[in-house]
Amino acid sequence: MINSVGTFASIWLGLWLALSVLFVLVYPLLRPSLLKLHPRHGSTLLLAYWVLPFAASLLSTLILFMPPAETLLVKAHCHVDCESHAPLIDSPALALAGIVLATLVVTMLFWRFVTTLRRSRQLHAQFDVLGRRRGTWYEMEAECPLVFTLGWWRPRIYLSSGLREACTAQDLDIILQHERAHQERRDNLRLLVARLCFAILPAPVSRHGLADLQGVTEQACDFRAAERCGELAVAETLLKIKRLVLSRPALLPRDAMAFAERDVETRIKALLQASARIRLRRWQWLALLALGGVFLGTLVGPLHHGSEWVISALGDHARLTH
Amino acid sequence: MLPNTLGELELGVLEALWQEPHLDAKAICQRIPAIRQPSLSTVQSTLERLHRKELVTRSKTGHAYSYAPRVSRSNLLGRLMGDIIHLLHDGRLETILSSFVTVAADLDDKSLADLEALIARKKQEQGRAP
Repeated sequence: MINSVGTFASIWLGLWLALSVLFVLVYPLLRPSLLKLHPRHGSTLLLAYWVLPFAASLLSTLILFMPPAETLLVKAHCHVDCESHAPLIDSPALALAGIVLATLVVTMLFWRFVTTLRRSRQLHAQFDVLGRRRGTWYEMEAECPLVFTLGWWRPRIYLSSGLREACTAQDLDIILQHERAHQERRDNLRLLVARLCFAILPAPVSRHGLADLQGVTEQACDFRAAERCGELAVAETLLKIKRLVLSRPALLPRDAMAFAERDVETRIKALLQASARIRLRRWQWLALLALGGVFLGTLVGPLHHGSEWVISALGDHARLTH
Repeated sequence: MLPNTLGELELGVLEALWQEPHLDAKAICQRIPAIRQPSLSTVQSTLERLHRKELVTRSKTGHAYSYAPRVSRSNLLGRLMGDIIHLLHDGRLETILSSFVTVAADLDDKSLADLEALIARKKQEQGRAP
């Protein structure tokens, strides 16, 4: 039993790590095409891209340990006998190491999830007491110009009175349209899922890819607001709010000057060139889905043989060192 | 962690004091909504915590302390918003909240003027220029 669980844990972790590294390395090649898509499609595809290493590693490892599926996807071969089999680590110590490692990773993910959830609840509780409900959003009596959507399952919109007073009715409508899009799309949850699925790599390695996801997500909400108010109006509001935020330097963190992501500039340019963005058709989505299925199916055979090769190499190494 | 994080009861006590300052613990306890009615000793320890955090002042009247808020509602909200701005900037809150524009000083005056010109040009192209 320990050997089976340990093998499962080791294969899943190893594959998750390998696929994550591979996806980070391949990303610069795919990035230009992904960023040419309509942000609504681009953000969905980017999310799928960053979730795939985790999902594919877990699914293919599960298939590897399910005899009927494994028989279909792995070419028949014999070791001592010719029965259908899953790769198995012989050494209990190695299997235990796999279990410990997997437990550590799952605990780390769970801890990260729980601490973020706790922080979110604390903020909700505070803002619900201190804010005033205005229909679908909450107004916060504060001078700083700030608006944000907080939460995962039922996100709420909070807007400072400083920002509301500085906005025209149209600006406010655009801002609320943008935030409502975050609310409906559950973007905070999407970002959390992507971040957790890439947690096996150190943060600096996956930072650029996840920053792209965040940027395209913002663009998707800008485009949603533009469907109602027009691209130019949204671009103008973005610029106006950015100017307003920058005109209050006391609000900026001291180290903000070193932070050089050109977020608003990219978003305004995206809005002005909205017509150039490519929308995927239904058959293209189906083709991508089929491609994902084929990728998963073809992964199982090499995974089986690769795992057996690694296990036997580790076994030989252990025997030699003894 | 948020430097200005307050618990639900702490906020309830502050809310009671904002509505009517200079109250003792017993009076505050009675003003907290019945659904979460805490015991007197819980309110006293909450007041002690708020005093340590310098969010309330107290003066002795007879045997009991009388409490008053040291910060206004908007002042506390301003502090909380400041925390949000800092944490957004650090990227530590990005998975629980999304903001319309970032506070990062990533654009100088020239870039802003360039963007403005770009929007104006687009407007002209669309024949909507004034």
